[in-house]
Amino acid sequence: MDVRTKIIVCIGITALIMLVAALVNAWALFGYLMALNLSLWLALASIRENKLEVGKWLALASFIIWSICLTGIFYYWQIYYKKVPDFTILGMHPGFFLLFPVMWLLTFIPVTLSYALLFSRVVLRDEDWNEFLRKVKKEEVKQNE
Amino acid sequence: MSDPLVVSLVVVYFAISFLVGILGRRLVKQPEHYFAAHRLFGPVIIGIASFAAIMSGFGFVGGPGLVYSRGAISLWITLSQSVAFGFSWWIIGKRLRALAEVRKFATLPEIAGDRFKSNAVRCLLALCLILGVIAYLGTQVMAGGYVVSGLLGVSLELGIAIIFGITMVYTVVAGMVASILTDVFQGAVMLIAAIAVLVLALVITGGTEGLFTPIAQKDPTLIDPLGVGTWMLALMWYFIFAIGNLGQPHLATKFLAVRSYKDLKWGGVISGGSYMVSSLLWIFVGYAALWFVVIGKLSPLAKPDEAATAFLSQIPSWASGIVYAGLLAAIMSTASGFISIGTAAIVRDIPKALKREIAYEKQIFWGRVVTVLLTLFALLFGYFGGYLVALLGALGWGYFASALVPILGIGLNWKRATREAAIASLSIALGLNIVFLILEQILKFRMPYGMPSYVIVLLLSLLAIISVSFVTKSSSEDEIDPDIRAAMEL
Repeated sequence: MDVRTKIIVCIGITALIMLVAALVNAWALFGYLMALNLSLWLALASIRENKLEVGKWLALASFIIWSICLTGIFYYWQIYYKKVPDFTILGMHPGFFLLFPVMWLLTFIPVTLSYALLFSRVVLRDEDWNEFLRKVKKEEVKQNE
Repeated sequence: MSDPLVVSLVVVYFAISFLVGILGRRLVKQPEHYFAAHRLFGPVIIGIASFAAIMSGFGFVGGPGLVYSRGAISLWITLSQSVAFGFSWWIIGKRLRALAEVRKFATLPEIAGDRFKSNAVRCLLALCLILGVIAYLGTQVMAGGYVVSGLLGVSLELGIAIIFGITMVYTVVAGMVASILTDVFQGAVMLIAAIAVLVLALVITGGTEGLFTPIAQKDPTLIDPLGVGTWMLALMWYFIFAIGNLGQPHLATKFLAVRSYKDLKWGGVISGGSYMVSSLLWIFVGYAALWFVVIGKLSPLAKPDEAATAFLSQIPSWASGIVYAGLLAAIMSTASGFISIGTAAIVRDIPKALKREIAYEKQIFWGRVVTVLLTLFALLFGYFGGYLVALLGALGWGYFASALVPILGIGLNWKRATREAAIASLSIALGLNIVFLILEQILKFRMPYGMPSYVIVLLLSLLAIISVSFVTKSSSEDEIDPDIRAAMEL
């Protein structure tokens, strides 16, 4: 089984467990599985030549950020449930602050900003694009013959 | 009728939108330009147009309304967009752009049909898109009409005719090119509106401390990270809005319009960053409206959706003019994208699936005819459809996500995905969304724990494409056409 298929299987398994978790209202478990599932999508998209390389670090970083932020959000929500929090950050509930702006900004880095930063090295190298064009042209010639 | 300054700003906005759209005509030289703006635009245009297409009128009215009535729960939708555009660029950006390089693809059903070598996949996906497009446009008709009618002091009918007449004319003239070019202008208006709102909301309320403290004292639930709702709903919203972005046809089609593969580089950051700025409007308009009510400057609102207009009544008229223009921009940019996608599905996909392809040189002409007919149909449906409009209006983001995420996200990244799996996944998405529509909207069935049914449908359609691919073989691995396979191996 190649790396791509392995990750697809993992996406499928996490999706299945997410479904079960949803049906039994295991919402915290659903949250962490969601973080894992989303990280796996990132890993899938960053595979090059059947290798994960940088992709595994991106997936790991985003999973860690989601997991820590979700843990903090759940924790502070439970502590201050239906109460005015006795400590706030810039006037915000600490759980709210972890959601916005902390998780909002931090996840942007490994998932969105990384695409631009890694574009020429990982996402689409010039030589890969040229090789792709060569391959397509060769096939065209073969078909015309 | 509103303040003359607000009216003037809105009229100027309409005039510029119209002109920008019409000017796009000179770029339309072949049907693929008309239906997909095939390889015409660079990263800034694609980035801002993608954000503008995704930010709909809901972000300006429904979002703040939800914050006003239910606190932070709806923020899980808008805050997911900091990663959603990144996922779209990572998962399908490169593949779709590479496919645009090798074939003159102009629609997503064309791509899916050729990838899986199946007319059934092409036809099913085209039908999914047409149904979703009509449902979306139908819901926007009355909303857009009411906004214009209230702003300009004209009848509802004339309001509908103005907003959708302008959108229709420029879309008829230049198709997707007009849609993308106007999206850029409209996106810029939305960004200015969002920044203006953020600054005004913080200045008026005395910063985040001044904003949140009185609200917390009234009801602490409204400032906690969940708000009024269930965790399952919040987390499921985050999931489907993060990954489902790539399944929105008006976003995915934009990758076919990217000029060079190098232009992919900054598009995701530009669109994601722009959406993040516009999220501030969703957050701060909602909380500021709540703050005005809590401190007694406004009486409690009859409907949560009045939160945006209530806030606008408290800020200077130049600023409310910009925000109203931003609201119209959000409605029009999403509508024009949907009109173009629906038109392309009707002109290119359905005839091809039925083996009655329209002659290449006549496609633009028929595209224009269908754009008019589709818009008029949507207007009549939206105006007279009543209950049916509300019913179909439930087919939104989740519906598109459950149909397209497996087909594009898995189908273009995994050569083992098979034709039977694609058909199974699409059938589940289409069938179950309609079943849940009937159960929830007609029979008033409620999902347990506040779960949105479309997330369950997405998970099932994902499982279908993966599991069925392991037990079937057709159109996978070496059976995929060499050029499409090369794009998938890139």
